[in-house]
Amino acid sequence: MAESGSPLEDRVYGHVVVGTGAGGGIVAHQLAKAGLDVLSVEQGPRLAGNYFTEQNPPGARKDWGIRSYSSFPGNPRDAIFNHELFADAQTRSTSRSSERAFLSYQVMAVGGLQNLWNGVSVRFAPQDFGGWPISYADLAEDYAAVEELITVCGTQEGIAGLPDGRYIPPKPLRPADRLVIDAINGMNRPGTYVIPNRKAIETRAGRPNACVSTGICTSGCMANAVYKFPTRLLPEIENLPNYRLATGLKAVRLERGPDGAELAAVICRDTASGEEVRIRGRNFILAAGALETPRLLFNSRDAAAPNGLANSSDALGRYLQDNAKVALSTALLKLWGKPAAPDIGYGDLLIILSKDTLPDGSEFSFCGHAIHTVLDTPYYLEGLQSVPAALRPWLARKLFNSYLTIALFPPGDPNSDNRLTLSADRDRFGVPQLDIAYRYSERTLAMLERIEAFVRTALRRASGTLLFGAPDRPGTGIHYAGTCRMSARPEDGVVDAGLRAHDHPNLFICDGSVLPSLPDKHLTLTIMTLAHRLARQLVEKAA
Amino acid sequence: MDDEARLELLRRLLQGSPYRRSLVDKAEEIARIALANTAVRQALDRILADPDQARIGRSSRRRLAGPLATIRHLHEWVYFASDSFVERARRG
Repeated sequence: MAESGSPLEDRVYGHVVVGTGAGGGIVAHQLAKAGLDVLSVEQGPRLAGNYFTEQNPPGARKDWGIRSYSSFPGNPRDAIFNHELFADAQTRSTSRSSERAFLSYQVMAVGGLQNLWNGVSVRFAPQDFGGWPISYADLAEDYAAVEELITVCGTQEGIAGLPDGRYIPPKPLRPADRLVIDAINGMNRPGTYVIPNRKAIETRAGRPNACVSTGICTSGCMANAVYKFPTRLLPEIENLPNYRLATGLKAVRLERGPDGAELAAVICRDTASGEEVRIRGRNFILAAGALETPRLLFNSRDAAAPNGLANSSDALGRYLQDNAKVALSTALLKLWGKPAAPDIGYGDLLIILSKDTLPDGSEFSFCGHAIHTVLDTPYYLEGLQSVPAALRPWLARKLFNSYLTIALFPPGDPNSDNRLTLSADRDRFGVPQLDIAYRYSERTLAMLERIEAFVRTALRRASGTLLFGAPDRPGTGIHYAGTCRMSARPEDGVVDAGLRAHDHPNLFICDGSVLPSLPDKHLTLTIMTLAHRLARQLVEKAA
Repeated sequence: MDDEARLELLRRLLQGSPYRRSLVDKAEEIARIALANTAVRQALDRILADPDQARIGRSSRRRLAGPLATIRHLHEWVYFASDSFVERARRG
């Protein structure tokens, strides 16, 4: 077992939290700070303190950005979707064959996906809670508390569709941002806004973890400027006597207590020795993500619940959602041959919000960001292969400071047929994985078409030259949601408005899986806010 | 295949690169990184396994177009990611 200390099986823990990502980190921190007895269980290791500074720094800061898995020539997609922290097919929750329908990305380490998080932290708007058993008002205070806890930069804008929060100043905009702002404002579309991005990043100079402007948060932050649990909140609780973190333990199944409704233990597998470890608890909080949490519940099936625990509604694993995405890149002619702007900041300095109407007359909104492509690692080489080799250095220098990507996405598509089911495949620990059935609806495809037209117009107006890119494959939004949906009635979902499982009074879920619907906004701040609210309610109950 | 044969081949292929003048003083570092990369190792092994390579120390460019391209792209990548190129590019 990775963590030293007394055997985990010796006692009953007050709260066992499975997972240490966006939801699990916040809920463990809040419960432990309030003095409650908490054990966090994490499948992966805790990354070394020098992981993002020396072992695997972002960009070309080590070995010209070439890693064991790099392929040649570079492909722009590799900048985001190739990283050694992403779980491989033998370690992740989903089967190899599921890739045909849905690409899934997970990080099995303390902090989870937030190790490679870009930090975008926006509130859902009141209208985004349609069909939820809670409203924006129920979360407003927790949104504010989380924003203070994780430090979000941004500006007060007064936009109804993107509620303001508590912010520190953002990084200054760059020439490319000004071109995008002018281009989109010039389109004169009602309900369209281009504002400084809202990110969980320390931007204030002089702070020990101030942003060092690598521009590529999704490759990991060298300065710990981007919030993540292991570097920001874990240090506040890891030495408390009422808190313990157990790493290298994969939660495999939950075990019922004598009354059949309450859960008594989570059975884990030591990922090093393969031994089974039985951890007893009074309350269980699953925060392993919208893929792994339902997998754990499916794998906990027994004679009384042959389709999985917490699944009397048959909603478990259904309604899988991700934000479909259009990402188009270009080189802005007005910036050809210009020197680099002095501070690239965190790369995606703008957030864009707009809406459109489909041929059937229905309206939809969409959201996303403008991203400066950082070229120190030359992922662009694939695009230069059609140019004679002798001209490539000259052309690459001309274009170097002019690249820009706009990536926008519509709301998710809550469809019960987009679902997870147990697979015949097993991971390296012998635990059954998940198969995925997933298709974009006609409505989603129509929305993507309209969004692509918007992006093309915006980029052309901003002096974009050759445009490349397209709608991306399902799963690449990495905003997984819906598979343990929250519902007012037990027959409609897995957890209630308080995130307690309808079927089990001491089982709670706080990750993306509980979101009944996914709006056109990044979901991470809302996951953290739901976790904060859950912790507050558990503390109140304990008091 | 052993690493010595791979290194010798890498050295020879670097001599044929259009970027050799900029890369030659980085040859050792390139070799270390190249041998740790799955795609490059596979490409080197395919070239080394070629019968002409064993017999006359040269390979058919047509037959080995894929693996030779991988090595060419590796050199190009290092050139474009080098401090000297990035610094010049940043100046515009």
